[in-house]
Amino acid sequence: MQQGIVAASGLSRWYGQVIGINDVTLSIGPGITGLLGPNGAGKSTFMKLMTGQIRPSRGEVTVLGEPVWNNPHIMKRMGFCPEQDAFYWSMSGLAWVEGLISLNGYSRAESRQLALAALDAVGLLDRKDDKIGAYSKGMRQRVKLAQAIAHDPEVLILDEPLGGMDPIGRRQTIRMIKDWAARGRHIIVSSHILHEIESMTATILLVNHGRIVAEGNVHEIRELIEEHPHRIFIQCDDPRRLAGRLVGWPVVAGMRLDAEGVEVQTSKPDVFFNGLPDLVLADQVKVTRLLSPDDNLQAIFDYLVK
Amino acid sequence: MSPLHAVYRLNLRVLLRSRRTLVIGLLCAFPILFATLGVIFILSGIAERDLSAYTLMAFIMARGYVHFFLVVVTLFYGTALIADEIDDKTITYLFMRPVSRRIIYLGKYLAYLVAASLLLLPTAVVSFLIAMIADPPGEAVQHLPILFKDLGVLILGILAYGALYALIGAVAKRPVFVGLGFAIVWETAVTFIPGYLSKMTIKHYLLALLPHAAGERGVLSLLESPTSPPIAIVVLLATTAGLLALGAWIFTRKEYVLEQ
Repeated sequence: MQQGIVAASGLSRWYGQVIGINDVTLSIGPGITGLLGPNGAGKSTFMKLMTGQIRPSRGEVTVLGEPVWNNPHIMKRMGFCPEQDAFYWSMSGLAWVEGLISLNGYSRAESRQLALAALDAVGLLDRKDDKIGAYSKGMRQRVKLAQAIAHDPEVLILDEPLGGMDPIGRRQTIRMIKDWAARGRHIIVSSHILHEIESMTATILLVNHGRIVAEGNVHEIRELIEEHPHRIFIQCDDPRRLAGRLVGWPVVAGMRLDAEGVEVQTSKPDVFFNGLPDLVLADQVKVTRLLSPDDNLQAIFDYLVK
Repeated sequence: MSPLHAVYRLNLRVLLRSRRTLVIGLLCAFPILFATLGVIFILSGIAERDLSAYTLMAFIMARGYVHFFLVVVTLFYGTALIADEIDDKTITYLFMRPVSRRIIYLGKYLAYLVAASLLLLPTAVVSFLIAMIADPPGEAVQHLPILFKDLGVLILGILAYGALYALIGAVAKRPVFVGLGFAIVWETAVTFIPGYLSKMTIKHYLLALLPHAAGERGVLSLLESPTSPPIAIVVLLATTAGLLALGAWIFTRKEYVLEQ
């Protein structure tokens, strides 16, 4: 098997007839690695295998050179923030993190100290005594992160850690993850949102239909995506007038008009999105909806695997 | 802090703060209410002449505790130990700690023992003390050894039923229903079948230990071979150890796939 922070060899996991992960062989190196894929792609299954929550149907997976299934010793070196919104709801954030961290063998005083430090790191110190049931979704995400980082693990595995967070929370969490990596820790973070991963790392693994479809630098993937014509639908009160303005814009490669709006094809979506507000304002067109059917990972994967 | 102590402490906290404890706590107040009503009937002369503090307590202990409250409290606590963690998807947090699954299982069982004892034993003591109001003061003191024996029976019941229901919780998908079926069909119905089949139930050995159980099963007791108290204690402790070991073994090897 290849050596790495996480290494998998012929790793497969299926649930009855349903494939979770299929014949994955890879080696994840140090630093931050993004695991990117649409919902249902197999990211969570891979994360559960990596953390020993489930057993491989075939093949094997190791973390820091050790197998993970039924190996509690490796957990001292690992932290995991699962996707599920699951807690002991009647406990306070502090009591919950402290209770979990005490399972790592720390004394009561040490557990409390580590829990407080972790809650401080995720920005929840002022709400530490509130019941978790009273937390917002974003706060619950942060308290999950706190229990994952409290014992200062070497490898941190984060399953959709930014889900439900407000923009400030996202920014703080991204900064925290980057700081964590800068201290020599290794992080594997999953998301189905490309720009979330991009803001943390350039190293990504693309997962789709239970397979790793691409791995490497996110910028190369970005370039591939940018070559792919992108569809954007603009719903507005005067589609004809808007179409008249758009037709002369060089970034617009094609257009389709209907009663509700205009569907534009562009190979430079970033330029298009940046320029659209000025164009709309200049013409006083009232835009009611902006849809980007291609701006999801499934569309990107469909394109990449063609 | 040892991992076992840490698991125990965390889970005791969770158990004692659960809604389940509130409901079970209210349920456990019924023997106290029953004892109070019994004493009122005895002292006011409404009750039949042969109803005394002793027979009142014997009835509460055998019919109330051994046949009902003990079974219900251990069932709802025991089956929840593992099953609730699976249903609530919180088991992930325990599995992500450097603690063996065997220790997690035992720590949770210890937490259950304390929580169930805190609900059952004090209410039994209070029920006893209330029932004894109906007796002259001197006689009440004479009955104290019976109280200690009753508490011993309850402790053995908490141990054995807890181990059984924790095992069911670790194995079955709908453990409350499986446990309820076991409690009604096996533990209750089989106990009333004359012969040796009743010896396959936990309740048989608990009833064998009750100091005032004689005659509680009426003519059926004439058709069965009784079990001596020392053997009953050994069987109950061995059953507890066996079920606990089996439960821990299964919990260590079983894969719990949480629904997405």
